[in-house]
Amino acid sequence: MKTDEELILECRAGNGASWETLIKRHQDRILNLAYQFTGNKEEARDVAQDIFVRLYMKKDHYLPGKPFKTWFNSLARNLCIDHYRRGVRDRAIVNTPVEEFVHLTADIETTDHRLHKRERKECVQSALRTLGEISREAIVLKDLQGHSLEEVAEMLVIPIGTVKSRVFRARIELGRAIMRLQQTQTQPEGSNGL
Amino acid sequence: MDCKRFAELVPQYLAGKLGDLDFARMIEHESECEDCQQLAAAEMSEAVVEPQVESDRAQSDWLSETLDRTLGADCEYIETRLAGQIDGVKIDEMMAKHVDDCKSCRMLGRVLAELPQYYEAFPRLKVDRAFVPEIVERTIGRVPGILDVVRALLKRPEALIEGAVACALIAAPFAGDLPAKLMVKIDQAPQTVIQSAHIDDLSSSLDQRIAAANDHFASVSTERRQIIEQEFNDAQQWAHKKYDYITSTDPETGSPTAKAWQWTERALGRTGLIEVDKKKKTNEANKNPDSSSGTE
Repeated sequence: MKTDEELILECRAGNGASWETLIKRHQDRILNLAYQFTGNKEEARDVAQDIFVRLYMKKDHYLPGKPFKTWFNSLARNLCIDHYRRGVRDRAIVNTPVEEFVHLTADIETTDHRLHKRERKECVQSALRTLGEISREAIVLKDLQGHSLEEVAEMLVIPIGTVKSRVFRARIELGRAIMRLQQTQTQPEGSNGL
Repeated sequence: MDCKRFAELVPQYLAGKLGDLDFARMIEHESECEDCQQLAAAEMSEAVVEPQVESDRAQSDWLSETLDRTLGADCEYIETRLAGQIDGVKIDEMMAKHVDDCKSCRMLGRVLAELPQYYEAFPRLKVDRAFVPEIVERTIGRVPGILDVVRALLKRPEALIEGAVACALIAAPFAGDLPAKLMVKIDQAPQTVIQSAHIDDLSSSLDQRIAAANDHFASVSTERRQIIEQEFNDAQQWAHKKYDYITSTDPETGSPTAKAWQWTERALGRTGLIEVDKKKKTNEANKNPDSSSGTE
């Protein structure tokens, strides 16, 4: 089986079959990356296709000898961020301030914290949407996509320590968003939490 | 960051008063240096007994605030440690005590520990069948269909025979082993040539039928398409050889013979692309004895 590096060089030489192979090898991963950034399936499909089209347009920029995946991930991430920023501008997505969630005092410890998978799915998707660009990116790249700290640092061109700090803070933000959603689900209607 | 610098910044670190960059560097260094981990833990457990500065606030308030900061009760620092749990960051006894006593940190800690389960529940999408073809079309352009190939072939007079063979091969998945049967029939036909046949009617219906075959071709899978194209290429080479042999036996006309058109008509008839009128064939043969098969 040919490596990604071999395939991209063959694409540059005009090999259509290699191009198709390269797409198929990364299609699901890129689609899920786009979905984790956008939170919308239709948008994710469009963004994922745009990522591959951009990869094709920029294929001559790939430096032989360098890891293809790192370069491709960086390209994909940049496009996702561009799309995210356009979405924020167009839809005026409001990011809930983290401070709002500090020191929640509602007594939800007595409720059953074991949610079904579907509830967890809805909860984490909703919570992820409340995160800002930097926090969302940290969660997507490190926790959802499974890249190492070194890979993320290389992708974002920032120190590893900064990546770690962003990831930890993003998790706290996500955790608080989840707690707020759980609180909303467990509180009876009309309750003000006091 | 080195250990000396870490030690200088520990008080601010524990109080959560460092800037982002220094804070990140402290976390990274502490995760890799056991000595500094112990230093930070020791700083937290140190209790300040007497205030050393003058303050308008009551001594008890000042003491309480200082104890909170030095006994690991600073939530921001604790939360950062809790966020690192899924990466293996350890919570020491002092921090665990704070978590037990602090409802906010306890609840957050529980959610943070369950994050892997939330991530697992996140939907995993799969691409649809049109995903790759659409990308290929936007990048390297449209892949030529059978209609484009056949039109190119029709520019040459002998292309009609090749087109008939190609159509027969395209229809082979539905008509069984048609290519093999067609080849056997052509091999068995007499080699003498009688006259040219009119093929106008044949070609117009051929165009329409080829268009229908092309539409179907576009809907089959990529793998199946590759197989059909390979068969078509093989048939093309074969047809060339056969056509050369046929025309070489008719030096006068130099054009497709009646026999060749009969074979074409029969082949297309087998594919279902056209209706072959067997009676018409027989009557035409009777009207023109010279055109009947096998005439010397």
